[in-house]
Amino acid sequence: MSQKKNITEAILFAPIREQTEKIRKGELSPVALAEAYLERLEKLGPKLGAVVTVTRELALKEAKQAEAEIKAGKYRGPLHGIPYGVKDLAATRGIPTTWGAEPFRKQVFDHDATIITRLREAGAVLVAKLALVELAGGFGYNNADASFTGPGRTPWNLDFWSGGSSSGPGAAVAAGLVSFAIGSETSGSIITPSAFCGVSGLRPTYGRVSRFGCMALSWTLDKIGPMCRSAECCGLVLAAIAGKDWRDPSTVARKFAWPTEVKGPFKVGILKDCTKNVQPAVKKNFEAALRVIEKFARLEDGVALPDQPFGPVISTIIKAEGSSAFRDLLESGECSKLRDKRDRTGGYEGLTVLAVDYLQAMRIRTRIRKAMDAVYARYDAIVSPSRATVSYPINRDFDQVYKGLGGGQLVIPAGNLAGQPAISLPNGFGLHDLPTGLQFTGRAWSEAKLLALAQRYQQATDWHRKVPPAAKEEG
Amino acid sequence: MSEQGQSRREFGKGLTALAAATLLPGPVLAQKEPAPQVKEALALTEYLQVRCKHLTREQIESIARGILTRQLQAESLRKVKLTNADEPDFIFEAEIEGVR
Repeated sequence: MSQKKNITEAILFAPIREQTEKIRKGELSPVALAEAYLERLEKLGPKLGAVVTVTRELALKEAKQAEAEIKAGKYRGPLHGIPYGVKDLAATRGIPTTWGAEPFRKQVFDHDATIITRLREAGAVLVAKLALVELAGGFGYNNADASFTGPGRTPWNLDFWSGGSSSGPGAAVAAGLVSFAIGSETSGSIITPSAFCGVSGLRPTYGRVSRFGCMALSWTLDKIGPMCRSAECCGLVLAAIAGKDWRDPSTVARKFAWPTEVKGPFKVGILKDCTKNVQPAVKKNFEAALRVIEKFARLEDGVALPDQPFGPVISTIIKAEGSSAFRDLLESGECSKLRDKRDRTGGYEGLTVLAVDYLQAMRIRTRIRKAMDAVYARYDAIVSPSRATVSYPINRDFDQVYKGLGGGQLVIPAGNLAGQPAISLPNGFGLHDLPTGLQFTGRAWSEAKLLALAQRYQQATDWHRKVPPAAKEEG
Repeated sequence: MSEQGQSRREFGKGLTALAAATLLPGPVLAQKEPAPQVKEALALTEYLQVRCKHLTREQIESIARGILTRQLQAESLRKVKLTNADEPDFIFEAEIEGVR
């Protein structure tokens, strides 16, 4: 008899550590767990616009293999038998990899991305390819409805966006459709959906995780990272996917292990003016979070980022690299099949970026990286709200909502230009009962510190354990 | 005058008007000639029209606005003083990964 009925809401929403303990002891069947998530993906996934492909056949095969191996005493580690979803920009052999875009809807690769291979080696079970903003949002979309799967919806309020471009991973983790997910970030694509969906999302240091087999939007900015129910889960997943990969020359052989030995004491800077021009609830929740953080970290207020042209630099780089990566698509005219109106023309500007202007941006970027590191070297982390507002309504263009709000948001392009890691954590609720988030950002390769800090915060709070109403209705 | 020439002039006027409305600072607008950034944006848009013949008039206008915005950003980046020793933030390596 199937154990599926024994899979309670508490198990579906449990952090990886709790699921894995039960699996290891034989109290939880990986097959039953995979079946339960598959059912939810098929039932709730379309409502949330979170899923591109449910990989039922592969999932059950991998889950059965995991179950047999564990029974035979071959335990691969904490992800063994744990079901996950991946943003549909990672190649999976024989399964469509759509990049969220109509022109690539039937694209099938004959190889797996390195993250897929590494997670398979760790024993994780792939249950779904998850939705994303078409082409990871590189062409300047201005509306939630910017994927051939339709708008991604946050399970906290279905009239609002799940964030982008890792929209499916955010919604799927929050709604309990997977145990964890893999997203990607060029500039904000893990941090934003993590904040808008109330999950914990880690943007690793550039070079920490292989990009091989993942859609390229910007070779010098793209990062692959975990989106999970807790910081601890992010640590477990990062440990499985991090490391040198000869197929991605940007990767570096730096050790990352979880759990970490990092214990503190911590010194945390508060980003200067980060609660100016933010929604009142964002400010209130951030200030409440600081009162928690100051119990285990020394806080220093008013830390300013270096005065650098972050916006023009990152915009120039993404436009030039993105338009080069998609030059065939642009010149063929197939862009007209993209969903969002702005995406249909947004890539063309990049074809006209002069080489000297791109190089100027990359030369300034060297200075930015050094200047950012000089600021961050004084702290274990810098804390700020993840976003200035809660999520956007799905039926309005982004530039028509929350006008004038955006305090502290330079930390997203600044951190991405410098290749630095960041983690977004839920820290309360704001307008329309939508989640708000805070982010810890740090020096390159400081993931262990950020995760340790985040874990301390989550040990003292329970925002990451909240279950959204849309996940309960038909669960 | 050719139809294309007429279009180009109208188009240039449109871009100048856009720049006047939103993007360029007062002293630049006071000049009678189109600002250099507008001329550059027009030239780059013409290149795109040659390269991507499938683009419609409406799309070209939208793209031209984007190009103008980007030209202004590029202008701000060009003002950052760099020295000959300031290298771009990527490294060429002679060794091919995985080969040896």
